[in-house]
Amino acid sequence: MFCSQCGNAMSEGQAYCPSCGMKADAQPAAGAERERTAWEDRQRIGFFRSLGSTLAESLFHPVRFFRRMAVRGGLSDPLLYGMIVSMAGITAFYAWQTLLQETMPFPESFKGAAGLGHPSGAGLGVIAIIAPFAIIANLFLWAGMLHLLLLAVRGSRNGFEATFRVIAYSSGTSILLAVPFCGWPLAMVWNLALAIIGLKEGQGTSGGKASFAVLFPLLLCCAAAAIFTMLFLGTVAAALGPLSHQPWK
Amino acid sequence: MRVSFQNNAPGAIEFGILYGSFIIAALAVAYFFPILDLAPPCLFRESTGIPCPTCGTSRSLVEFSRGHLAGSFVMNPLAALVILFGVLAFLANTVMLFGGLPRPKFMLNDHEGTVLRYCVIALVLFNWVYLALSCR
Repeated sequence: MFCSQCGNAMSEGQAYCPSCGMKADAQPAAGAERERTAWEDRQRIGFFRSLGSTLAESLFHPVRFFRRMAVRGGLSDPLLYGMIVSMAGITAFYAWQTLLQETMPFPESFKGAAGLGHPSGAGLGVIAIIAPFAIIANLFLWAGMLHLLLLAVRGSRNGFEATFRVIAYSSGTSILLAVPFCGWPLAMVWNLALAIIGLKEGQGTSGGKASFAVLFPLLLCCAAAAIFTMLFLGTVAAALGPLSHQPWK
Repeated sequence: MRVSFQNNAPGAIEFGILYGSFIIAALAVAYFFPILDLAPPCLFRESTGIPCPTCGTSRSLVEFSRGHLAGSFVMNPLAALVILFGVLAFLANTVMLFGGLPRPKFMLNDHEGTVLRYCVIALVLFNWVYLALSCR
């Protein structure tokens, strides 16, 4: 077994973790007290109520949420949740960009590239078609990268499915993109915090290992994240360019 | 290390097909769209003067998409290896899925897992040194 505090390997008969000293009987049993999220129980609770409940709990009570979150149960439910909240946030963000145009702080290269300065209803249509695929790719790629980094530091106890579920339920911060001006940096920072908390609780690993997995790529300005974002924006730009009748370069 | 051949459980994720398809999609985008024109500057390189471990990945992707495998390796050897592995994994897993063939499963003990872990870290570091020395 592994210590849930520091992730160090422990023998079954040991009373205390040899690394951090946490009592063995204070360790949560694998799978104990974990349950389906409200979203996964939406058939009983109701669609909007379960969505709101999951969003609120994951955003404002993340420790409790991820500690109780089931680490098994399939990827489709968390994936669907991530898609819904991300689409809502992206759509609202694009709408603000086109409405407020020059007044919204956003990297100039992305703004021009995506033709965002030109109001375009067709642009929203393109977003609606392309964004779901980009969101799915982003969730799997981000989860894959984090899981590899967790494996590198022996911080994974519950497998890739747990990591994916954490990342998908952390994407609730995308809803903050609906806030003009300060929404997107707030969403980015809050998402990182939720990912760290989620990996710590969902994988039963230490905060240090979870932080390493989440922050290491950012510390090195990992081009992987930038590339996939760029690929998404490039695809959108190429599609929007002819539609907006505005050169994106 | 033990290798066994077994079929995936029904509903199991085909990781080779999933991540391989992302790489193939990235290759397609790199081929058809001028992604290098949209690439933001590397903040790590601008701050420190040395390339980050993934510098050259986008150029490697573009070279690979145009069939220039040697050029792809020159830009970023590790990225080129990952892209190549992704494409091969996609093809292999697709054949195994539709052919109903069993998959190889590799089981490593603790020691072997540790060795593999250190080998991967060493590979990343060597790649980084190469990028820094070749000024990619």
